[in-house]
This record gives sequence, structure tokens and C-alpha cells, in this order.
Amino acid sequence: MRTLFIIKRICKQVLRDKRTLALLFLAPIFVITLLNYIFPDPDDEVTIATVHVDPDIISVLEENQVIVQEETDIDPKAYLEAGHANGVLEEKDGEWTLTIVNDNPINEGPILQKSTQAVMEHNINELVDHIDEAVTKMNEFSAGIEDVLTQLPPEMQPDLDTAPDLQTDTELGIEEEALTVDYVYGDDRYSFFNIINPILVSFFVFFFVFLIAGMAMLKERSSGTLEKLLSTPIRKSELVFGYLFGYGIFAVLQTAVIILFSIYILDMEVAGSIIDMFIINILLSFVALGLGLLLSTFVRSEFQMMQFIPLIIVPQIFFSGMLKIESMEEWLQWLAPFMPLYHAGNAMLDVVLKGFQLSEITASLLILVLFIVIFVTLNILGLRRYRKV
Amino acid sequence: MIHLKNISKRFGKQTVLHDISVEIAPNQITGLLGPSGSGKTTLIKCLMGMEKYDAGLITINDVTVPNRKLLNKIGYMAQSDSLYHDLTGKENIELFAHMYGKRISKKHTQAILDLVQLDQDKHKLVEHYSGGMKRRLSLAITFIHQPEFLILDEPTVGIDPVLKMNIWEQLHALKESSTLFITTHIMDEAMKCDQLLLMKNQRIAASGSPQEILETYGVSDIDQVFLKLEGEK
Ligand SMILES: Nc1ncnc2c1ncn2[C@@H]1O[C@H](COP(=O)(O)OP(=O)(O)O)[C@@H](O)[C@H]1O
Ligand SMILES: [Mg+2]
Repeated sequence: MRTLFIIKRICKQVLRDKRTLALLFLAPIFVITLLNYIFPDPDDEVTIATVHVDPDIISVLEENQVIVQEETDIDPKAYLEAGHANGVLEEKDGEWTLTIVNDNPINEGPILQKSTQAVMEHNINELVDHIDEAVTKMNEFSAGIEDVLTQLPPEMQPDLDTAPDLQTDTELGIEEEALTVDYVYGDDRYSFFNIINPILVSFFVFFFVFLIAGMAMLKERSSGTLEKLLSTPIRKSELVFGYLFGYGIFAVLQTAVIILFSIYILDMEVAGSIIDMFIINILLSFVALGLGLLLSTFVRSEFQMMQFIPLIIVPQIFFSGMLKIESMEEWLQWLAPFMPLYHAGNAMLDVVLKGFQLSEITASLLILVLFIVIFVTLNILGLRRYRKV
Repeated sequence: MIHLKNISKRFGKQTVLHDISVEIAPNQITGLLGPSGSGKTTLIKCLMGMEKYDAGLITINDVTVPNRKLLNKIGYMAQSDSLYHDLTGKENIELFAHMYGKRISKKHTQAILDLVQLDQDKHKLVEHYSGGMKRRLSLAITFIHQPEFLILDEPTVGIDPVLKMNIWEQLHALKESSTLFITTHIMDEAMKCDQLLLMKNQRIAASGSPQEILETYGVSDIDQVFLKLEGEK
């Protein structure tokens, strides 16, 4: 019962506070929109200058909508700095060199991808030629063996049938010029934004809910109203659940706004189910609530609350699925499971990009629930500071 | 009845309360008088179960403190105004009333608003209240659930003389149904209490009705009692 009145009070307060409302709903939308337009469109034109490059490769590049300028003798550095092309591709004694300015890794992504693809196609085609050659030679060789074998006395002839095996081997299933790049998830139109957006959705849910819950609880502590509430017979758990669900309502609304905005306005493609996205992020927002309420115990001012951002929030970005955990230092990898965003971010990638079902992300969800339980318990215990029973 | 028996409390190395034993008489105003920093707030927080006491025993109606259910019987007013500034006066009253699980009638709310003369401003946000209005609202909230005990930490600090008079009248009116325990560091307020506890050096140095105390020390006002106590040391 008391919990219900705490929830009602929080709703009233948040609805009256226009700045908090804006921070909850407009700020994340603003930032996500900005990011959508900041990352380059993968359909943008790419120009590559080629020097002594095999015509096969040039045709592959052209198939990939790259504008190719054939040159014979240029200084790649000067050429690129003059802005004639985005990259210079050279072949010398079978070695390939791609020169790019490298002042903006995001812009260079498409050039790198397209020219390596072209070179790889070329090389694989050559490899296929070599294999064909080898197979032909082996066929000749086995024919030779058979000739030898037939000249042996019948009882010594082994029950060998070599030729047919080799025959099948020649059909390796690789046809010339048939190399296509298959993307396991998504397609070649995926921009960086497509991949990080699911993570960003989770990040914003976490960040803004954390901040608002922390600030609100801080105000409650410093204004003396928390102490006053605990001078009434309210249970500490009733109070914590009041906060959790009171701010939880807004966290859920915020999550819905961010997700629907990303999908319907910014055209985020979701391979899995939107419901699963909701489940992940609503759980995450409750983790953020619990953590924000808890950390407000250790601060005296809003500024000190802000100091937790570089300490608690920013490191989680690195573990949220944007970077590969496996390639980090070993002791760092150890940290990952302790970060709520690691579980939520990866679950989001699984659902949004890979189309995983709910049953395939249960482990992550259970861990998020565990985080909630831990933080809620700690919050209830932490209120002992204000009342001993 | 509130009983404190041999209460001691220390913060780290600093002893704040030393072996305090007190009985607080029902239906009277008992004033805890002492200079700032003498430990009045700490004593009250021990009484409320907000602070742990290191030694001794506190009981309220024979129930050992701390006890959550006891809080139903207590109205508490902290030293600072603990109000929601983004809610109206009426909303503040209603919220805390619900915390006591009381379904208070509109009539009762109205009576309380009239009593503290806030009826005109009940729909105003508390952030637009003056200091005196906030104190009155805080006071109203302490007796919203008609508690048996009222524990008020410096209820009249920082308000004008007229309002102070007014509040004291209300406190005396509340005596009929409640036991009041009030702290103050303002000497002339002490004379308005029925019983006095004088705090000095982490102990209760003197107790009794104001008149009794003045007679015992052979002085004409409470200030001089403190001076005498100082001299005795
Ligand atoms: N939470 C605390 N931690 C450490 N010391 C405290 C704490 N609360 C009060 N004190 C100290 O205890 C003494 C008594 O404080 P307090 O009870 O607030 O006095 P009063 O209410 O009479 O002004 C002061 O010296 C104060 O610094
Ligand atoms: Mg005090």
C-alpha cells in the first residue's frame, strides 16, 4: 500500500519537472538521431586509383560500384592529398598495396572492404585455377598407375578404384568468378550505425535511468525527506520498491520511446523480435535504477554523482559488445561479466543483428535479474543508515 | 511512557551521550535544553531508532527501541524542514498520512490545515512557502496520525516571535492527548515547558520543573543555571 503512494508521489514529481522529462525522453532521441547522420552512408561513392592492376580486379571493383581511375605512374601520397581519390591500389610482383589517408577510420572502412574483397576474389580465382591444374595432373598420374596395375598378375591386383575419387574432387563447387561475399548477419548495406545502434539503445537506457534515479535519491537524502519517511512505520523494502517502480514507470516509457524511435524513424533493422528487445532493456533499466539509488548513498552533491559517470558508466561502453572482449588483455576480460551493459549489449546484438530467440538469450536475462536482486537487497540494507529496524 | 536507562553513545572516539537515565512523564511537555552540539539531536535519534545506542536500554510503552511498529505512535519533526518542495502543502500532508496507513478524512486534513493556518496556501507548492509556513507544515505533519508521543527537534528555531507564541499554544493544546518531548537551545523557551532536562557534558546535569530548577540553584533564570553548572566543574 505505502509503496503505491510512493509511486504516485514520484510520478507527480517527475511530471512536474520539465527538465527531467526532457532529459529522459528528448536527450536520448537527440543523440541517437545525431549519430545516425554522423556515420557515413555505405552507399556513398568511393574512388580508387589503380596502378598496374590486373583488369580482373578492376572489373570486380567496378561491379562493387567503385569508381576506378587507372593510372600508371603516380605518387600515392601526393595523389591522395590532392583529393583525386579515396585510395590507391598498386600491384608489384604479386604484392598488393592499398594506400589510404587514414585520417578517418570510419570513412576508410568502405575502401578497405571493397579493395580487399576485390583482391581476395582475384586470389581465390587464381587458387581455383591452381587446384584445377593439380587435379588434372593427379588424374594423369592415377591413369599412369592404373596402367601399371593392369600389367600385374590378376591375383596381385589390389581392389583399388582411384580414379572416381579424384574425378569428384575436380568439382570443388567453386566456379570461376563466382565468389560472392556472404555476410553471416545483415548485408553489405550495414553501416557502423546499424551495428552499434542496438548497443546505443541499451547504453542510453542505462545511462539516463542511472542518472535520474541517482539524482532523485540524492535529493531525497539531502532534503531530509528520506529520514522523515523512515520516521514513519514504512518498511525499508516498501520504500525501495516504491522508488524502483516509481522511476521504473518512466524507465519503461523511455525504453519504449528509444526503441520505437530507432526502429520506425531511423529504420533500424531488427532480425529478432522487438518484444525481446523490450525485455532486455527493461531489465537493464531496473539494474540502472538499483545501481543509481545505491551509489547515491556515497555522494554528497550532484557533482559527486557526475563523478561516477567516468568511473562506472564509461568503462561499460567498452564491454558492451562494440569491441571484441576476446582480444582484450586477460585480466580485462575477467571484468566483463561484472558489467550489466556487457550482458545487455551482447543480448541486444544477438536479437537485433543475429535474430536470436528469447530462449537463446536467457542466460543474459537471468544475469540481469540477478543484478537487480543484488542491488535491491543492498539498497534495503543501505537504509539502515537512517533507521536501525 | 518513555524510559531511557543508562544510555551511552559515541561517534568513534567522541562520547556524545554518557550514562543518561530519564523518564518522560505522560501528557506533559518535557524540554531538553542544552547548547548546540551537546547531543540533543543524537538523543532524539536514539529514541526514534534512527541511531544505535552503544549501552543502556530505551523503552517506549515497555517496547524496546528500535521497533518499527512503535513509529505508529510517534510523531517526529526533524531539526530541518523535511518537506517535498515540488509538492503542495496538502499533498505533503496526504503523503505522510498514507505512510501511517491512515485513511484520514477530508475533515481531519482540513482541521489540521486550519490549526496551523495554512488553509489559504494548501494548493501552493512548498518551494513557494516562507520559512515560517514550512515549519507550520512540518508541525502539522507530525500530528496528522494523532500520535501518543510527539518528538520535536528544535521546532521553533528560526521563526518570528508571533508565530513562536502561536506554536507554543498549539503544543500546550496537544498535551491533552499526547506526551511531548522537545529540544531547544533557546533559554527563554525553557520556561514554557512543564519539565526540563538540562544537558551538559554529555549528561543530564539537572532535571525537574523550571521553577524547581531555579529554586535549587537559587537563581532567577535558566541562563544562570548553566553558568553555575559551568562554575561547579
Ligand atoms: N553522525 C555523526 N557522526 C559523527 N559525529 C556526530 C554525528 N552526529 C552528531 N555528531 C556529533 O555529536 C555531537 C552532538 O551533536 P548533536 O546531537 O547534533 O547536538 P545538538 O543537537 O545538541 O546540537 C556533535 O559534536 C556532533 O559533531
Ligand atoms: Mg540538534
